[in-house]
Amino acid sequence: MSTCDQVQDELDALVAEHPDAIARHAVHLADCDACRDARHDASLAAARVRDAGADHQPLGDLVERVLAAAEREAPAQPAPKATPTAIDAVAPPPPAAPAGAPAPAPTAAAPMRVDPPSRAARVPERTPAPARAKPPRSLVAAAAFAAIAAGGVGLYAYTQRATAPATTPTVAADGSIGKVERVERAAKDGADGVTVVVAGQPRPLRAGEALPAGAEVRTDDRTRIALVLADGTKLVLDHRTTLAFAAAEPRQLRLTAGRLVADVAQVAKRPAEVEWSELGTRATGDTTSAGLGALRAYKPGEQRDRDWNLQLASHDVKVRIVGPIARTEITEVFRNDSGDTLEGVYQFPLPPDAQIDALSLDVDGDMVAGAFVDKERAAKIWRGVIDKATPKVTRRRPEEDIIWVQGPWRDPALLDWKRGGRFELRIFPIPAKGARTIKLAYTQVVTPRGPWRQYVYPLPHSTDGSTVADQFSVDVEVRGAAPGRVRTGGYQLAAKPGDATGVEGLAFAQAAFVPKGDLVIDYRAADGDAELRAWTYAGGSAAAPDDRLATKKGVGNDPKVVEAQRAIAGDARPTAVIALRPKLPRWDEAKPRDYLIVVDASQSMAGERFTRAADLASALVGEMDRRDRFALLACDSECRRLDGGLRTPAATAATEAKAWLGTQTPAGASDVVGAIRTASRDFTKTAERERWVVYVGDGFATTGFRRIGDVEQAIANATGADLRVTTIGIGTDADAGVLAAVARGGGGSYLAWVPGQSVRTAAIAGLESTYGTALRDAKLELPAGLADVAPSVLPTVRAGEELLIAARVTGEVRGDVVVRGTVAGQPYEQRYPLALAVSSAPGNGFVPRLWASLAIAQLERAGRGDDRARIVALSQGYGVMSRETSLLVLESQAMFDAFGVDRSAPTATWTGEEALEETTAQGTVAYADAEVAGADKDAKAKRDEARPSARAPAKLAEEAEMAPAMDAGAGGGGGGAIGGGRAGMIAMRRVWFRVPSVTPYDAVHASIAKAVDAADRALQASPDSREKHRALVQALAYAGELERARDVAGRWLERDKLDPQALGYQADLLGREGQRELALRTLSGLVDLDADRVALHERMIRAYEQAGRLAQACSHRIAVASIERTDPKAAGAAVRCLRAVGHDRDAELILRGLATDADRTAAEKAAFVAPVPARIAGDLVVGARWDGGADLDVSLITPEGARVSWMGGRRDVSVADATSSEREQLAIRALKRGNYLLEITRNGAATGPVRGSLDVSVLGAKRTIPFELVGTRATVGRVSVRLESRLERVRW
Amino acid sequence: MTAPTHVGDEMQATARVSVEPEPVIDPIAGLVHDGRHRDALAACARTHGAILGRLCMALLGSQADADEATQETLLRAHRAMPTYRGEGSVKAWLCGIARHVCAHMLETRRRGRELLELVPTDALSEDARIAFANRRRAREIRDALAKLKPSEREALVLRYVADLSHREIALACNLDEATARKRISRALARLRSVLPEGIE
Repeated sequence: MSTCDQVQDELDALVAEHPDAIARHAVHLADCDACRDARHDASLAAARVRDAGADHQPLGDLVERVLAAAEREAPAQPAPKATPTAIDAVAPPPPAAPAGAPAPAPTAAAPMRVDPPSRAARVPERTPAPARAKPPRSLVAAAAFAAIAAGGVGLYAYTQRATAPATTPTVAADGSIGKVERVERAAKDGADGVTVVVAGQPRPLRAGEALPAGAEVRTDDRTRIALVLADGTKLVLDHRTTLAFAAAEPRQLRLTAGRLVADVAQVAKRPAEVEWSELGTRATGDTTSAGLGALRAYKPGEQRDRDWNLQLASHDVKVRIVGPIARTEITEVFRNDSGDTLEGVYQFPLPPDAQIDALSLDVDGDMVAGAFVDKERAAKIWRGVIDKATPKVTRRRPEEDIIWVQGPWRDPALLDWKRGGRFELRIFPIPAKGARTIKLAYTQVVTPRGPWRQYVYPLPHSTDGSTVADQFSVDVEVRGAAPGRVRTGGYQLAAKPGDATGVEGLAFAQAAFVPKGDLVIDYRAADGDAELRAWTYAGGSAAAPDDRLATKKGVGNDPKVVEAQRAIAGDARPTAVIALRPKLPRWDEAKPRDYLIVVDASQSMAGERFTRAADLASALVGEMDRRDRFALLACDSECRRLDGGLRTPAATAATEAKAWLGTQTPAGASDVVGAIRTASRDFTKTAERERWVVYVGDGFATTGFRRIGDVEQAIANATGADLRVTTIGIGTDADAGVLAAVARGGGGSYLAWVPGQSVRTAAIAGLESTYGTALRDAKLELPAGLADVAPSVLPTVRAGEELLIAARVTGEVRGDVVVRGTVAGQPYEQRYPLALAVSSAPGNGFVPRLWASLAIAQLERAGRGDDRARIVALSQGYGVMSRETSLLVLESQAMFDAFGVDRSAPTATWTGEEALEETTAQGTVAYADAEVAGADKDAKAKRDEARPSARAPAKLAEEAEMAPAMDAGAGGGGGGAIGGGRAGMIAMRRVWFRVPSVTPYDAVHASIAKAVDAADRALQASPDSREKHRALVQALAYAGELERARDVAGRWLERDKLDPQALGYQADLLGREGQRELALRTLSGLVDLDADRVALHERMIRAYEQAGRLAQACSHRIAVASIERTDPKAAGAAVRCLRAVGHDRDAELILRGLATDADRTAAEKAAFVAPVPARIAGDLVVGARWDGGADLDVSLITPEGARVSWMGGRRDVSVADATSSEREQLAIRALKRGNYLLEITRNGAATGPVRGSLDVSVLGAKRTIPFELVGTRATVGRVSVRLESRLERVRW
Repeated sequence: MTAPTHVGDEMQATARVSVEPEPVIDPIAGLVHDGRHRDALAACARTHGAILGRLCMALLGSQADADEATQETLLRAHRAMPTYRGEGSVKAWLCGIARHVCAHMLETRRRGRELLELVPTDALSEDARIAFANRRRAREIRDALAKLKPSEREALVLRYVADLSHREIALACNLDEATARKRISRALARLRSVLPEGIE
């Protein structure tokens, strides 16, 4: 061994300066540079390694934890010597915060991941609550709140200002501190799942049991539990949670592990606005209000996302508020820590009134601004760019779906409206180990809340933790607010130093940021609370289309849009926007009312959102006047009704309503119009009572009518004059557009359940909107000099609600703005003197865009297909987002030119940093002796279904084998030796063919059991992996372990409520268990997750038609017609369907939605062509016959564990006699290689054995397999298709 | 007659050299020896909890995983106390267990958790930026360590994070002392080549 090698082997000793080592090698080191360098490098490396664990934060209570754990491991061991118990051993809780001061900073909360906390969670003492009395019909600020304590969180629910002794009983008469309200276990194994430890003795805890003082409650990984404490506090413990109650003080809690939702009841003598700790967000159920932001990554060419390491590296928000207008600029950096180039897809919520006006993406260090492009065209360009980066073998698309232009292209970003307040941003490429930056900006009119205005920045909150930002910052400037009248909620924003007079600056920054809910800024205007505000702006007219780009061929330009944009750009008249908030008298109507409360129970409501809706429905019942009556329905595309007709509201009725809703599982697609129509069908009309429908939901209309104009008209058609509809939106990203359209059509009001509002306040606000403090049948009269007014028809205006009216200024504007209508059935008129001067102040630069947004909204409401070009033109010309356009960023101007994308933008810009010029007015009410009360103050009130494998092995094999043979034969002729080729050789090619076999089913093959075990182990090793969940569900489904498969699929869905594949497997499994109705409903829930996928709607159409449920099939046909808006055949099919079920007026709406008369004629023609029934033929044909009168279903289980039956599962399946009680046929057109199972399922409960046979024909092989079905399901046969090959001579 | 004296002197001198100093009895080992396992467990957690946490953090890279591994290490040690033979120091014994626990966790649980790493907020309340920078630096070092062979990585961490001697490392890793020394030296040489520039 050389001396250098010896030095290498003793580097550690040399680094440690061990004398012996130094002595041994000193001479050599002096001579050998390499070894000296090596020693130096090793010293540096050693110094670094010391820091490898330096960021570990030692657990403060490690000793107590391990002792407690050791005790649990060996309960039978002798009692420990004077060792404190877990509770006693807790470090003393943090000192009580002084009044008004924030609570101690919580540890960061990762919703999915539970880190053991280091501090106790304590619920504060409170003053006794008085007996509840029926509140007056005015705002009552309820102090109930909820807060979530995720793992690692020490929580003070609110500041310790209330120091009154706790005289509220916290211990019941029997000595218990509360009881178990509900136990929910996600398994049918009969295990308890909840353990209570009292005095060191564990025992099971069951629903209804009392909770002793000093107890520790533990849930296992499948069980959740709801507790009600003696003082009314409600607690919900998530899976794998340990919560201990201090023996002396039941309101002192310690969360050792897991997650806790705490809902503390009303506290008397507390301020109406509860002060929140830094942790507490201002809304109840804040997980929903925070939205569901999700960051996913795809590798180009792959259809499904995987666990790629893509992170949001930074998220910076700049907010500029001037008077009632706010501009928000978001800068986000996405970092790709993986070694692959990825496409990032980020879904996030924005406020419903946000007018997005800019998107830019960094390209080589510069920010490139995007352009507004017709949505369909943008999608085609996007696909063209992505396909370019995609391995060709895995992606094939019809050419008409792609705009494909020669040239080197890369770096696009695409922002799309998804649904409601949710947007989707796609960025490509995010290079391996690289990052991309985007900037997004939007403007909004800040919502008034009484004399205040409330700005809300929705912070995406992902349950899988994927939206954690490494760095987060907020920079806010508010101009025009009264000094000291700017308040923030949700986060502790600090005052910015050195801001100019009249500017309130606030800032916040945090590393390793986990959003915990919306950022809320409340402020009060310095110039009072004017009822009317008006702004004007001269200039800033729309940008004209670039003629060079507009005439470019083959890039998807629509001449109609170009023409419309030219016309709009030619209109240089100044624009004006009037914000009107009429003060309404608090008149009440004595008439009693009947309410139909319709709760949206579709798939998109699953989870916390449905719980909140149920709470709200219950609160509505609880707050109703006792003379009123109500009925309650839970609806998706169908409705279920609480028994008993119209009921009298009472506390017990509210409890019953909530309990009943608790039994409803959200599933299925959402047909808002259909739900209200179904609900109101049996709503009997009486002269002495008013009839109201109150719709509570997120407004995601996924089947039936979805376009705003259609929804409004369809509701108007369905309800008539004597039935009104009020809608209440749940969730920050609720579709305010659709819900407002429903309310307009139904003559009622739309309310959003806003952050900071308790359930009771929201319920009272909802009821008040029906009692009379709303302006109905409103008409607006504007002075001369204003034209092109939008909206042309006013909605019902709630007290405190602000109306925005847009107009063009055509001349001098001087006169009265007159608002007329009825309040509580009484005539109402109010006048506002208005003299408008046209402004050119930079601070008014927002006016043209706001005008354009309102004009677009007006066109959308009209719902005419002809208007689409004008909507796109307005969007492109003024640079504002619409539902018909996307924001597209391309790499360079050259690339924009190549695709013919016009980036011309209007000249007016608005930064939100200049003062605005506005005209204000107060109204004069034109009635006598009426109480003009400030009623307004009371108003404070996807991705494609992942395909199992990209392509069939057979197909790949065929291509792989055939391609070289074909190449070799180019130019050949005749048989025999190839001319010019290798003499004496015969050209052969390998031809693959399928060999079928049909056998009766015997048992689960050993290899399948092995695959299940392997998938199970893989999931245990990666419990957060979506792929591993998918693999285990597939294996279990194929092995026939349905209950286990459903359990895993349930956990998969719990992890990601929006995973369509998990839901698809749930539906398959339910269908295989004979739960046909539930399976259908679950299946239709897929549509709720990906509402624009035509294939899903078509699957539902076929399934519902097979089941003979034409109304539901029609609903999906309407949805297809609204997606495929340029396809007269889709419209024709919807029209035919609607006419068949007697909905002629709906059919007219479909025709109205088409763009041209030619399309309407074609649709009418298509409506008269009867559909051709599917032929029962293909590679596999199964005919089943049986006796006994049961309704059986035949299904094929694919190698991926998916079910193919009359409910679909493949596009090429055809079925006959799906509802017959003696036969059924199922055929698959093309069967790939693999082992398939044939299964018989009984619809409903087993009533006796059924005997029959299956005639199976697969690729020419035939066999009859007899069966006897005793229970619900039987696997009858196995169909195998394997590939074999032979060599064939190539004939030239 | 001086020879015997000389012999005796030599023997005495030899005895002085070969007899090790009065062994310092580790109080934890004493507790284990006395069967006071629960007290020994508490003492282990109190005395060695922090170093075990850093060791596990260096190997696992996640606060939560490190906390879990630390607790699991101590619990395993508690279970093994009845058979503890007192070879080497308690610290080396615990670090040896921690090495096994971390290796097991890495094999079974680590994937897919990277996105969830958080800076503990206790640190944030003091100085978020410093904590975050420390975290970043530690993570980069761990990333570099991850490029070494597992055996090399463990040896380095035991040496420089847990501060074990070669002999203790040999005991913890079931090696002879020379191999342990060689492994650490070679790992150091390799680590320098994979450490990114600029980590200071």
